[in-house]
Amino acid sequence: MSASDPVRLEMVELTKAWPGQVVSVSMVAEAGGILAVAGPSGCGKSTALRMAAGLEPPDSGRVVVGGRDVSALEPSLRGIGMVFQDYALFPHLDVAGNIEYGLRTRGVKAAERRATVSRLLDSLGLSGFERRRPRELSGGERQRVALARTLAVEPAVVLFDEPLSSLDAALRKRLRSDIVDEQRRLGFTAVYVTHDLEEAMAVGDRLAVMADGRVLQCGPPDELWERPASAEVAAFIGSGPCLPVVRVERDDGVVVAVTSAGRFAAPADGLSALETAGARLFFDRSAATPCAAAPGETGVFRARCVRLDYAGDSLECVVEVDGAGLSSLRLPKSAEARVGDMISLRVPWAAIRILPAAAR
Amino acid sequence: MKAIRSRRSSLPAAVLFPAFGAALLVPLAAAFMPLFDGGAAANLVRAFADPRFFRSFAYGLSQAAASAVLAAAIGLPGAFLIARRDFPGKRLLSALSAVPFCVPPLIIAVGFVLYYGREGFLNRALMAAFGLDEPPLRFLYSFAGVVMAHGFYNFPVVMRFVGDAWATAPRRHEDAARLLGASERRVFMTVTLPSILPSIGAAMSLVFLMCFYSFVIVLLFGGPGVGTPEVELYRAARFEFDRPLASAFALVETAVAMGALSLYAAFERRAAGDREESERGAPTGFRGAGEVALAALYGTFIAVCFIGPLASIVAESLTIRSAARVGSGLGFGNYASLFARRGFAPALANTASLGLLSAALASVAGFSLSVGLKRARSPFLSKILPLLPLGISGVVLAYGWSSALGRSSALAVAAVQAVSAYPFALRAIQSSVGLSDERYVEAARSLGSSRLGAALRVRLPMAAPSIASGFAFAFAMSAGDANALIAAPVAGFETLALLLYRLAGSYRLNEACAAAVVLAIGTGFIFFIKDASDVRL
Repeated sequence: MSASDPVRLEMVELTKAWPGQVVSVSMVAEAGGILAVAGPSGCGKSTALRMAAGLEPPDSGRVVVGGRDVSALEPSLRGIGMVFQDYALFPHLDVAGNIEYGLRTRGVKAAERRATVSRLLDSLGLSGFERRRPRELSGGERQRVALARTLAVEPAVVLFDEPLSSLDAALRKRLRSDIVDEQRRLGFTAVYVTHDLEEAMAVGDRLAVMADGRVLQCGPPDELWERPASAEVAAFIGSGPCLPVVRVERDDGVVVAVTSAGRFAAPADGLSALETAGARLFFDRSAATPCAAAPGETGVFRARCVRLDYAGDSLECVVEVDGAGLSSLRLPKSAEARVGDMISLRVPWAAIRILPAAAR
Repeated sequence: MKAIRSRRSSLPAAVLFPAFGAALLVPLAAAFMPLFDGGAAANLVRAFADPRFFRSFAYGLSQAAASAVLAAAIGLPGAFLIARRDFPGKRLLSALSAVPFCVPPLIIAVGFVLYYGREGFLNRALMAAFGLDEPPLRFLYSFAGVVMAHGFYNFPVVMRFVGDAWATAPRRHEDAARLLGASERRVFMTVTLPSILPSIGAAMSLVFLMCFYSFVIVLLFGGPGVGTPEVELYRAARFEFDRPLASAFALVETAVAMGALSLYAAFERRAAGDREESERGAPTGFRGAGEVALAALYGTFIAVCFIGPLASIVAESLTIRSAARVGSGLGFGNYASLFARRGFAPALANTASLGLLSAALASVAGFSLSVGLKRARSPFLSKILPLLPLGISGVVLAYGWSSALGRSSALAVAAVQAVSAYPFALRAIQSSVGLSDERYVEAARSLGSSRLGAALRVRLPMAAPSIASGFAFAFAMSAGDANALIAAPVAGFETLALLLYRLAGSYRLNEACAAAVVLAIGTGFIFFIKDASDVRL
């Protein structure tokens, strides 16, 4: 199996254009890690994956696996395996037939094939399933067979193309942790594409957010959550409100970002972003706390509470902010807010970030 | 309460099933009954001892099998093109799918005579091109001619059935195989082919069935020797007055057809199972000059061999030949003399009324039964019964009705045509969302509608476009059908199809072609109003 020597996968400016749509991506999946790729439907994430696998010829760009440029190679010679949406198990073949499919195409002898199949089934807890048909398997069993089929040909990298998209939420949650467990145990490098952000953050060591055929930001999930590179990323991730900056003032040498709802002292690392058109002021959704401060005080903004939901350890409060529409905040349970009230909320200076409208 | 509800809801079924059964079983029983004149066993032994009996079944089965193979050979490349490639003229190729259902076999037969006959367009063109003294193509009035006509007539069935399956065969499976190292050939053989195989089987068994029951084409091209069981049944009943022999033919051919029908049903079930995994991918352009060349070759082949005969009907209908057949010109004279025939106007009226009556019967039965059958738990009722008429020949039913009634009747002919067209109408009607998705009716029921009210106010309006398609199918099939009236002629009752048959039989081909064009306009126009590629079976 691929465990012995995990390798790095690089997609270098892989580009494909159709009338009215361009997909152009650069991403790196580190050796032995999982790169999760998230983005709305139709943003080009599956296309990027198919280009990496060689199933979709790119107009330009390179695919590098373990330092070797495989762009010109046939899909099967790239050392890349793929687990498809709904697993794409061959319905007319049994479990063993599915798993040994790739070995047969490589002319591996029957005895060796049988040995590989039983070793894989053993390691994935599916012994005795050889003669079952895909339709006789549960969702979890299908996933493991699909993984076994992919791993049988010992790929250096495994791509997962929305494998769980048609399953219900509870099963999805269980199966995604199965995938992570298997990946950790076997140590292969993986790229995991999904439209579900929560799934992407749970699965990936690194997370790439895509929109309109581009990678907006790529990094560890906590970095994307806390320090989104642009308002576009913040809006997709939904980690906190983005208030449009209407003007910049200087007050005793302090740069103040003025929004329609309040004034905030800008952090030093946000000054360059402040100069761009459409700059936004961002903070984590749990950073704002209700306070009794007077309107106009720096670091405080006013908002109307339009909805308040009990969320166990906190209150989920939807507020309407002047100039920014609706935003979701996490307030401490002790917060005294009522639906319909105008409330003042304080945001600590350290939590504030200035974001450009779009990634540069 | 429960008892009342179940009684009320089973009422339509209680009326319809016997009615449907009567339309099917009465003529069928009457067709088999003469077998018992002097002992069924003795009659069957006599039939089996008759060499003609065996030869006729051997001929019928072999021509149907060969026709199904030929239809598949011609239809499969078309299925691939329709499913997987985008090209100019694709809509035209798709539209050919309607031909086997809206162009009567009689018209195809006339087209073949005009095009492939000794003095046909193709022979004349070949003789002129290569300076030949004799026509090079002389296969028409033979086994090969029958198979050619059947194969070409029915290839669109294979093209449509398999094309649909091919278009929706999951691409992920093919990609998975490619990534696992399979060559394109291996991908096709191990992944694509297994997924379209049930559709190929279903299409071929349907074509087999339709060719096994083919009547007019065999009657015209089969020559004076032994014909298919269908033709021999007709000869035994009409000319030899050997009713027990005719019944033996009817019984054995129905049994054979039921075998083919169960094969079709089994393949259909497999194909339907595969459709659950379907995934429609966008067709792509041609890959490389080789594919373009092959597609062009295929297009030319279809144009020359299939569209040629159809086009020659139109050309011939506009060709005015002088009495001595020395000179010819173009004009509408053939139409004028056709319209001036004394029997033309009544034939037109009879065609319209017969077609409308049987289409109405077929689509009402189709709608009511598809609603009724939704609640049937037995697989025989819900799956086999709707298909049953496919396995029973119109000639047997017509023969049965005239035995049962002691005379021929136009109403009986309408009943025969309605039963024959019903499976096709039903298929069209069942494709409607209103019938396939129970939620709409459940919503109506939860809002207080009765079962009948929900059927009339929700199902019926939702299914209306499908019912219109089913009606169009049934009308086209009935109006173009000459079999029932040839098998059980009704004195003084002529239709366009019968007129066309008589004109072709008396070699008044120009007028026959004019009649064919009028008939084709009548049966085909509905399909051109609707999108022809929507035509589904």
